[in-house]
Amino acid sequence: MQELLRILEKLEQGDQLAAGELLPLVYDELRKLASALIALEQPGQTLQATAVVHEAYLRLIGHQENAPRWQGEAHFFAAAASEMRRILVDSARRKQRIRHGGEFVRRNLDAVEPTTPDDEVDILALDEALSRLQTVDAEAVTLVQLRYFAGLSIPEAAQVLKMSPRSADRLWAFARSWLREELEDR
Amino acid sequence: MTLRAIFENALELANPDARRSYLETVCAGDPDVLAKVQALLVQQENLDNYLEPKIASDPSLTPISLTHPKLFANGSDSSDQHDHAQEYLEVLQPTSRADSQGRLSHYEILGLLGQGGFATVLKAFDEKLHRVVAVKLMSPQLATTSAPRKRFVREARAVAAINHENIVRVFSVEELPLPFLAMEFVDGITLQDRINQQGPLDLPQILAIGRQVARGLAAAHEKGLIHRDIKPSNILIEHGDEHRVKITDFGIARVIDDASMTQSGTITGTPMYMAPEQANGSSLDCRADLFSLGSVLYTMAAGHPPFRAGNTLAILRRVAEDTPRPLPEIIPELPGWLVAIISKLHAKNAEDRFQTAREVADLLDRCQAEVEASTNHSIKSVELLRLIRNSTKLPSARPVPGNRNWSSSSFPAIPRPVRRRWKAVAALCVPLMAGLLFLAWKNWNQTGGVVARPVSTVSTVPTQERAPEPTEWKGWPAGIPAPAVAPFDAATARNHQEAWARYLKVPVEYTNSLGIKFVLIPPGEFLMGNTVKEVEAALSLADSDTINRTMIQAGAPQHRVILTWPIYFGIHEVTRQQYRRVMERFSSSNGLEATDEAKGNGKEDGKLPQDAVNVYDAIDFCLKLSQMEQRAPLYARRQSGVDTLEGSGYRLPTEAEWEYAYRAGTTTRTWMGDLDSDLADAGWYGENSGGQLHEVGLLRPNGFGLYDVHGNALEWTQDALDPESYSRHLSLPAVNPIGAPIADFQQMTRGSYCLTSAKDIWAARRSWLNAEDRYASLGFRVALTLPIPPALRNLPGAASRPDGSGGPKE
Repeated sequence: MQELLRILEKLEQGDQLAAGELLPLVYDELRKLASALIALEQPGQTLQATAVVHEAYLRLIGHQENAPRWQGEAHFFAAAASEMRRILVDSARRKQRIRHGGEFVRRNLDAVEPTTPDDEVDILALDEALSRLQTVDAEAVTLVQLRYFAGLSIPEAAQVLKMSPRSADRLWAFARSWLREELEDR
Repeated sequence: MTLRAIFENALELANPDARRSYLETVCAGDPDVLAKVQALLVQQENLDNYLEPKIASDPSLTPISLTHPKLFANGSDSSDQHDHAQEYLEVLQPTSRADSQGRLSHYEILGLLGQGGFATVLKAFDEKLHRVVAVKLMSPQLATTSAPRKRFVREARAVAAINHENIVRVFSVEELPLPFLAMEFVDGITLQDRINQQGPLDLPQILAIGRQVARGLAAAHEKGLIHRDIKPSNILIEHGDEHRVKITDFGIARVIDDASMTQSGTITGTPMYMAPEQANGSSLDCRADLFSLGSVLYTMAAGHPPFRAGNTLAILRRVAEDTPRPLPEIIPELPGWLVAIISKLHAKNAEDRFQTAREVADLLDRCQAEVEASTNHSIKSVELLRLIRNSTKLPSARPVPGNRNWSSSSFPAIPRPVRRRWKAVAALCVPLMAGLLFLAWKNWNQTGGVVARPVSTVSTVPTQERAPEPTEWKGWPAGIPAPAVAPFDAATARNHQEAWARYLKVPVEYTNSLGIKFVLIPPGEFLMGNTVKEVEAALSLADSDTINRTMIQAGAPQHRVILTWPIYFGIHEVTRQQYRRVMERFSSSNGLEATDEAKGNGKEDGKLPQDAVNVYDAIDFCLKLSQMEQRAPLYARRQSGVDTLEGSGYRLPTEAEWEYAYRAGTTTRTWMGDLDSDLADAGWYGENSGGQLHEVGLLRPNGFGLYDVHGNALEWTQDALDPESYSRHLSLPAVNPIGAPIADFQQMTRGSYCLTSAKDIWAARRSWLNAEDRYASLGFRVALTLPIPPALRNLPGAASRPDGSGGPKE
């Protein structure tokens, strides 16, 4: 936690190199949580990925009810959202690899993988579409990550992106329309 | 202009014509962009919840600094108390009493007690009857319209009809100047205040309060009155020794036959305690109050409500769809029977709850009496526990075609929504599982009241809880090393291994031609399975998943098992390198080529356990490995299933062999001990594995020298589930028991894996999976039957096992 606070502080002060230190730390923590925390959850529950992000936040930053609102958390959530995307995509790839051997019944073992908020969405296809969206509008990708992979609300995501909630709402409409169009095309 | 900017600008133009002309202007000369934006705008029309995050499954996981909980968004507990606090003063008449704020009819108003959604509660003195009362005065804003006014009066009349010590009495109803009612003044605090001050309540308090609430509800329900808003802030606890509890604020209660009920489009209760049928806006009856009572009991036990989320809608969704976090995770010492009662009250489907408040009241009465009579808060009455078990049985509404006995199962399970993706699979599995569970439970009930075993620690332990006495081993041939009869320690385990190795003239540790290492496991005797107490403990920690709970239950009854043959047992799970070397040798078109060297050894993950294999893969491995070493095969593959032969080849261990080898003479929860913390240096599991498989053999071996027996990969055994294999051996020990033949489903696995959390790791823990499924982190280890000494061949049970004449080969 101290380590994370130190990095976030440096980021706050404009030290962009600190971002490189942040990712592995966040990734590690999310990974650990994805296995330990989610193992305790019931199978079949959705939204575990976003719960993991929030739990990671609490574990790293701690419960500070009276702490002043703090910009550092924006960096954290931006990083955590993109790492959670990576974790979910890795896990989807792994499942796909195993699956070809036989019908992979959802029971016990895979129940402890982080799950995406919406099982109607093919995570691998979404990941590819996001990579294409990156070249169209990088901010839209960040927003999708914050919303979809970290479960942030529009006002929270707007705060991370340093834009008004109204702008975030418009961008959200754009990003979703674009992704859906892209995914339906294929 | 970017695509995004064009899209966003167009979105701002609600008028279709304006939007069209804007797009035509800005995209002039670029039909591709125009078409794209138009396509996006069409998509935008139908986005619904596409990619929208749902609400986090546990609100405690929501970062505090980023959320603004609107838990009381429906207004009934809103914090705008101060805005209206003094408004009532305007309707009061002048008074001559010094301590009075004013008069209302013949009541002298002494002060403000509280404020609800549409009423103010005042402390008052009744001049006529000379007693202190509470006056509930309707808010002036609401009193101007007729619907709330009618509701207020209706409420008062309904409550006035009830005279019960656990319900706040209503004395009179007046309509002017504003509608108000005079009711019993309760000198005490609300349950909400109590929980706020104290946190989770202890068991006697929970029972004392819970049973009184249930009794009050029973009285109201019997008068046809539903409270509709049972929550801790509506439950008053009197000061004084008795701690009498009174339900108040039947603010939204309505008479059941009230016509307005069927059109209950609007939500009036506090969503956190609401029943799913209320959250859905569908019609409800008194069983809705029972759900809320479940939430109140949960809140008392946990210190916070079961269903929480960031906003009203999210709470409603959780109430309707989610199972709350299991209580034992929050308060581990909470007895299982209370958890069962709360779970039953929390059934999503009203049919699956207790059907009357009276039933709950009676049950809680009896539980309280029992708990008070005992020194350690336990219930000793077998009959009462059976009653709880039976009444908290699996909901009868579960689809089990033509199987009445299904409902004779013993533990509660809350139906959970099946994820869409798995519906097809679930539909296929239900008949199979139903048949299986029926067998399991039928068997369970036949084992002489195992289900009713008390949790108590008193000395009058029921017979079955007592461990069967060790067998005398009469008839064990002379001149043969003694069997290893548990309990024994690691040094003794080693002595047994060495004695048998000397006797059989083989090494204790043996490495085969492929480099797979084995140790000799001597014949012996142990207690297989979990005690009923251990099953209780495991169940109290487990989630409500029916299959999971069934598997835990399948770990009992504990029974004595005798294994009369020495075997070699793989000290490691079969590694990827070993698996590749055997399987690729045979898949290669050139047959026995030396390609395995290059292929097998070069890979980095070679020392990880081979996972993602089904039981047939594991059997094939055994067959091929046997072939490589010219051993007679022990299996024959059939179209479906596997036959067991009289061979001397490699095989999978049976469950009994596995557990005996795992325990290595120990009798504790795991071979390391009884505590979660004991596990740390002996296995890769949820809390230390990082979610991944690890190289085999890095951690401490058990007393027999086996590595990774818990954690890392889960392991297939040779047995399929035989639902009676445990219970049929309650009186006599099982000798060399084997399970059902491999038959595609319910193939037994043993051990735990890299994602199992510590609390779920048990020596005797069983689970079963479809034999043909391949899972991440599910692997196997192999065994080899040693030559059986002629003197042992005629022992009882000898015919039930394939003869082994294998042993080390060069």
